[in-house]
Amino acid sequence: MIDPRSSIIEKRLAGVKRVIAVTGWKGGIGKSSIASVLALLLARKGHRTALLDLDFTGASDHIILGINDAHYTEETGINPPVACGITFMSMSFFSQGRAVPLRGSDVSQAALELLAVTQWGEQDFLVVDMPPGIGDASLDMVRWIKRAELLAVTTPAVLAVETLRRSLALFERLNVPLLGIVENLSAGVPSRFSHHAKFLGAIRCDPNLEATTGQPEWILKTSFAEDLGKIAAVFG
Amino acid sequence: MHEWALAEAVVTSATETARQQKLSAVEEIVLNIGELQSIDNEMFAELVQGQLSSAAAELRGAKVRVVKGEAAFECQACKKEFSEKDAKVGEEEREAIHFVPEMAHVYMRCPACGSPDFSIVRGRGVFIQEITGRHD
Repeated sequence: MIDPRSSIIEKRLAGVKRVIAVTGWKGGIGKSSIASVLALLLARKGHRTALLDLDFTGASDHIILGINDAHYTEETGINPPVACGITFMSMSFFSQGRAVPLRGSDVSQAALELLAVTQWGEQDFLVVDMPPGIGDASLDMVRWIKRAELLAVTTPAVLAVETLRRSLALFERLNVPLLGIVENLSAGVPSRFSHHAKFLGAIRCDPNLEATTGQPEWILKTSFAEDLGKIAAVFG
Repeated sequence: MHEWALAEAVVTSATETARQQKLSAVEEIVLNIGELQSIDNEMFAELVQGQLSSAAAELRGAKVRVVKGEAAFECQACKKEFSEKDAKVGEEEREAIHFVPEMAHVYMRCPACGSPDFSIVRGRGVFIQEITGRHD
């Protein structure tokens, strides 16, 4: 039996100029915040921007951006809604606020289904909030979207740094292009990755960010968005 | 309808397969459509057939036949095997599962112990079961 879905992914992404896969191989380091706000910043700069939340078991991009009542439409596939100026697709559209208890291979299957049927149209950027870790779904994603550029997120914490170091080596062996490394929750001291050729910058720990959850206009006024904006400037 | 996108995937994949197998003319494409996908088999066959009319030359005369793939599940907790009918899924939930079959894990429970931790043994997705044709 042949699963036909992976053969159509390239065509679905034909109108997308760049795919940025925001990944953090450790939980709680701000991967989803960076993916969501990066998409917001790119859209505000006038780029046609899409955001795909593939963190199915912990989907939160819609909460960060306050996307509550948007809904997809059907035509020759699923057309994602445009919210906050971003073409947005998330499993939250289908799970209706419930927990999504998926095992690794099921996450891969669900991601493949979305990639096969979502019509993205013309986009300058597709930001992908990647599944956490280096399990089935992450490995499948970089296999299916060969031109995805990794934006790797870490924090100053030793455990996050060590996980990033190991994971970077793995993805390098898989020939996945690395767009860069971003340090989140920075305490203002130089990052352990400061001397890495692909270190793009640090984002200060911003105690005000939490209070802006769900309010894009307020998010854009935080130091978090200011620092991420400087990093995003290099993308175009 | 999102079935159109799946039909396009079938035609693209069938074209790749026909070329790999060096078929000069594809005579029949047999599709296996999982019950969990809740797709009207006849309508889907017509969609694929319609797209084949503008596909690569070697696929244009192909007939499409659909085989229904019955869904079966196995509970990871109590090992009970059950069907979609046993799980009693409502219409609204079926709609979400129709788009992404893995949503079954959100809405379905093991009818014996109530666990949401089960595996889909078979009956998800659209597959190309067989492609037959000539090599001349």
